[in-house]
Amino acid sequence: MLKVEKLNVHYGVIHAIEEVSIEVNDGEIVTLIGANGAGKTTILHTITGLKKATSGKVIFDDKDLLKEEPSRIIRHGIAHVPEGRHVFVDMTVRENIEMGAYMYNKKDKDKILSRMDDVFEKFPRLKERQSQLAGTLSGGEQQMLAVGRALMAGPKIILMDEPSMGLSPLLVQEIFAIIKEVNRQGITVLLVEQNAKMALKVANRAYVLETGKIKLSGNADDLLHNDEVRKAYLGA
Amino acid sequence: MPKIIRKKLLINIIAVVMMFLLLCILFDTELLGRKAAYFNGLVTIGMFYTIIVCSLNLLTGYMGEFSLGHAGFMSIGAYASAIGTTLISNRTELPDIVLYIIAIIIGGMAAAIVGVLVGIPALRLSGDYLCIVTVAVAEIVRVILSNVGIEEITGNATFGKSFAGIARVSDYHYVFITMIICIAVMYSYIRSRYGRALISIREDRIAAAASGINVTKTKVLTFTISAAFAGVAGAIYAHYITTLVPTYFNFSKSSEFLAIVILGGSGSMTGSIIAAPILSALPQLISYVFPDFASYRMLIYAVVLVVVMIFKPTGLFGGKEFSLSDLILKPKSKKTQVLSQKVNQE
Repeated sequence: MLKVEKLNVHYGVIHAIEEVSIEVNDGEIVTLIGANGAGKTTILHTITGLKKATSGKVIFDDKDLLKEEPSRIIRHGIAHVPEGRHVFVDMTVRENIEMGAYMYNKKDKDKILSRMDDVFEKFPRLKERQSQLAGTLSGGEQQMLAVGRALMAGPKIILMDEPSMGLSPLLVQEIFAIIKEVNRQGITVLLVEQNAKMALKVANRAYVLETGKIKLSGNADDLLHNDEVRKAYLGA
Repeated sequence: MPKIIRKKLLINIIAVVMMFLLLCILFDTELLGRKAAYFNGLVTIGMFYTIIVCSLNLLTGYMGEFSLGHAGFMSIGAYASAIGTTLISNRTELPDIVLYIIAIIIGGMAAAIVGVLVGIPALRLSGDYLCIVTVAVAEIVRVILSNVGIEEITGNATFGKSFAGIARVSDYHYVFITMIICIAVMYSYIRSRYGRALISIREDRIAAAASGINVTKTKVLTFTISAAFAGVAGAIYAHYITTLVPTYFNFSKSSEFLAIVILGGSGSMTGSIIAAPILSALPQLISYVFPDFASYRMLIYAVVLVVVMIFKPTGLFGGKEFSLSDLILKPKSKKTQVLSQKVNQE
């Protein structure tokens, strides 16, 4: 479904991503783990066009997306939940969710409304707070809002950037349950995480990224029990 | 159209018409006597200030970018429209209103074209960097206008660097209607899907891009619209003052516009609409009411700015809008809001 081939990305003279190849198949949860600064976020940004690559390919459903504008890429069915609390703080929860359907026209109103119902069903807390400003939500709720907004675009694949960042252990559990639930409904997930243990538990397959290169890859279960991974990322 | 919106529209139209009639009564009758011309001037200046300050508020308040070069766009509109109408009226006689409309269209278009040309490269920048570019653009425009031979183009006599003999067609009736149209267009732009996109870019560029908003295109579009209205304001100014001097459109003029935006409340159209005429007239009014203090008028102006900034740092309106129709319909509108929410939920 999504194939990243021999990707190279530079920040000035710094070679941030070196010859990275990743493949995500239909219906999978694939996770990309690695330490701070390994280049996980950069890869996601390159896929959605927010960062321009030096060379390589990003192929989605047999189309090369590397040269496309970010605003076009979402129309192919790739939604991106950016790292941190990227919600529109001065807009209400409902307006935030509406922004996720920005690419649709007025004539798709019915589709938008029914999708909004789906999102509110999945996140009842967002429904309760729909007229509240997004900036007044708690961290976990903001994360849910970001996921809900991404779902409004009706994506085939959703890219999640550190959804567990800065959340309490209980909320982390909840967020990962949501990721599983989203996947169960047929949406492929590419998950970037520092919380390697949780990520490996929900994922089918995983890639380990170290200073811009793929160090290891394989079944998530295997990696969870791999000595090298355990030592470096799981703290055991 | 839902009933409540129709009602609000009606109230707004009535308010606008009443204001127009008030101005007519003040200036078209003998009520003010010989002072009429003086106040008429203050009001006309206040009206084109309102247009340009609102256009700058689009950038500052809604896009979140500072422009310190709006006087530059205004001067482009002023000069382009003045050259246009002078050339036309040298050949044929046209009624004032036609000449005025031509002036406004030329002024707006010219500034919009320059806005696009500047906006496409400049809006890859943001914050301080964009601000510096706008200053530079305004200065370049001013230097060009100071050195270009307008005499050769129009055949009008020029005195030194000034461009005189522009037709005086900016009658306050026309200017008022223009102002209302400009405000209505800008306000509906903000309330449209493009406006929502614009605000989301201000709040979070990455999240906006991830939601499928074309960030650069939206910014360039807004910049162009803002420049166009600055050009319209310039056209009105040129055809009111009738003599243009490049030094009028200097850096301090640009910063004056920005000061009014911030004082009225950036992100509040009503703030700009109220602050612009008051602050543009304040120095004149001070010297009119207290002739003894005439020489202190700029000092008093500065003190007003400082005091407002200390006690209300977000500006008079602080990003909120004042709505006459909400005030009148208040008890009812709350009920309908709840109702419409229920309808939405179902």
